[in-house]
Amino acid sequence: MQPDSPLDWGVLRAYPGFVNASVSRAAVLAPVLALVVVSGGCRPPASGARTLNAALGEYGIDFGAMGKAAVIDEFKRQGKKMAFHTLVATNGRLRAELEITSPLPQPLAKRYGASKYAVFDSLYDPHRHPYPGAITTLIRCPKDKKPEPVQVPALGGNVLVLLADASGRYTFGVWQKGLVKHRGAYCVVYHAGSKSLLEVKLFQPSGQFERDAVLAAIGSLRSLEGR
Amino acid sequence: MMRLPRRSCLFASILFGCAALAAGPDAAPPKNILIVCINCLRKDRVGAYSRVSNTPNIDALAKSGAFVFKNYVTRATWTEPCLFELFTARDFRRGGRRILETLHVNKEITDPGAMLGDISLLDSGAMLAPGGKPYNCLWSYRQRLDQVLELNVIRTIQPPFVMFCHTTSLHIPFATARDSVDPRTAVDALLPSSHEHYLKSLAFTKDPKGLPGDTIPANMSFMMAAFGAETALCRKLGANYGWIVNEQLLSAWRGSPTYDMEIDILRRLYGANVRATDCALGRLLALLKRRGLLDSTIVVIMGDHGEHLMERGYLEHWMPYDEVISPPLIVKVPGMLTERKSIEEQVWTRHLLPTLLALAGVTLNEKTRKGIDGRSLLPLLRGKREDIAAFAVSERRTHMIRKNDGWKLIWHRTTGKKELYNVKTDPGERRDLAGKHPEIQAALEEELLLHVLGAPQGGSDR
Repeated sequence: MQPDSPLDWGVLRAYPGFVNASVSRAAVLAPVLALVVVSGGCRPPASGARTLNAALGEYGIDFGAMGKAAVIDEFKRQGKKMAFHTLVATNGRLRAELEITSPLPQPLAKRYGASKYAVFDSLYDPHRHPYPGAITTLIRCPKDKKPEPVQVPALGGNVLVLLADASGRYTFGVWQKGLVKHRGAYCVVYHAGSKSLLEVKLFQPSGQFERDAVLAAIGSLRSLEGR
Repeated sequence: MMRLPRRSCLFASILFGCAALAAGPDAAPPKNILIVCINCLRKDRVGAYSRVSNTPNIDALAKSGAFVFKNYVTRATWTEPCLFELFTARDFRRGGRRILETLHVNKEITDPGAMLGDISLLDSGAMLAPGGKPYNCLWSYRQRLDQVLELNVIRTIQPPFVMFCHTTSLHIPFATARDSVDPRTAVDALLPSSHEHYLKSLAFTKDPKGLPGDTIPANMSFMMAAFGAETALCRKLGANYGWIVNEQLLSAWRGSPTYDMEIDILRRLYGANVRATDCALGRLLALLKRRGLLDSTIVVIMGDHGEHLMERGYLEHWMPYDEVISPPLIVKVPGMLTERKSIEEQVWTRHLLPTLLALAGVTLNEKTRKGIDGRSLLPLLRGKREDIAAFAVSERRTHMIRKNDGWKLIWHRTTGKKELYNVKTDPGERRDLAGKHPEIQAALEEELLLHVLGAPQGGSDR
């Protein structure tokens, strides 16, 4: 992906390994099995609750084991040309927050996706301090609080996944240690088949964060086409 | 910096000088233009908008016959994009990478001339015309109005002139009132002398000497200086701006017995600064009147954006609620009105320059008209009802779209959270209707998204 819009230049600047880094499919899928074995599978959704896979089926997308998670919040709205679909689901171990925008032509989706990464990236930018105080005029994000970029194969392509801390309200950012309640994964994925752009956030309590399992869950995103 | 750097003066000279030339030799004598852009000015402190007023001079100007725009929306919640649009009439997203960088990095742009210098409108020569007399220009940027008044040029500038005064008197830290205020005006009246230590603390010294020991841990100014006021309640609001929040200090401040008093003092200090700025403005207008220039001068009083004073837990001007994105805009055109006239239609920052040029009698050529995004409000001022800005967008990391019918969507891009209000039925934006009107929300989301991505769209404001 080349920065072709005013908004996406920050992405490659922040993540120079965006294009080249990769994780093998085997390395990604192995922890999926581990997650299934360790967790005994995902908790079945409450009776009558819609599963994430049922919701994603509208777009021809399957979320693997994570797709069995129960949708606990859903809001779909239809605009003139595109629809917006917000989904929150949980399987007891992982919480998934998805926002799906469709249909989006690929060039527009590329720009939108890049702008989403740029906004995420900007959370960790140094900030000029607005006050002429004696304490500091510039606050830089400590290295250990910056997101960890990982490439994961999903939906037929390599997806940049950012692993970062989040607050008790599932908000990514530079939080003081006491405020970090979750760790999560953030990514934006495009599904060409349905022309849908998915913003995916997965969270786990910070003490129980299973890096490989979370990456594997994202790696389990696949298209239902041709099955 | 008392005067704009040379390049910026050149810009202003080109812009307005050429504008004057374009009027042609047979046109009526050009009017002078005075734009006073008061940083962080809120509508609810101006008598033309509110029953509570700290601004007797602005109120008098409005009452004497001025257009009061009730729904003026700024392009962004901070200064540079607003000034960019004010002086180019173009969307600031078209202004090149330097402008766009400010979306992501809170970078100070200290030289607006450099910021605006590569704008094609200025280079196009579209407004050049033979003959005529160029405007004399004075541009002060980020100066207190009372400092501008000390300039000799104020007393000697000859018509026709353009004066642009951007004043930061109302910006945090609210320490300027104490330095600049006329002893006969606000501060002493608004602040009891027992609050003197807060004035001292608002100078942002780290040294607690001189402050009462029992209030130091919860000292508002210390906290603001250390961690940024905009983070003050970010935990509660689920928002985050990349600052590390010191929860202990926040808790100490919020839970302190001085909390309410400090907020009250903060608001009073803001009011005192408004009063002081209005006082300086009164002196400027009086000076122009004494010189016999006021009756031939278009006077614009505006805010580049407003300010939060702990509404919803916010300070400063980061969030696109109406306290911030809908500041005052008052335009007095000599000989056009004899009393105040309210304009209810929504207008946008980019409309002001074409309006001023139209009022000055400048006819833009076709090429220039196509190059700008704003349009003249002159028909609106003459009583023709027009949907000038069907939508207005304001942005930072949090984006906002506000429709002429009052519907407004706020999109927190870092969290994905959205808020929906109708500012006509709920002017205080108290009732978040997100999720309750799917069709309206989707339409606004779509329009905002397409705007942010710069895609062609229907329902443009042009």
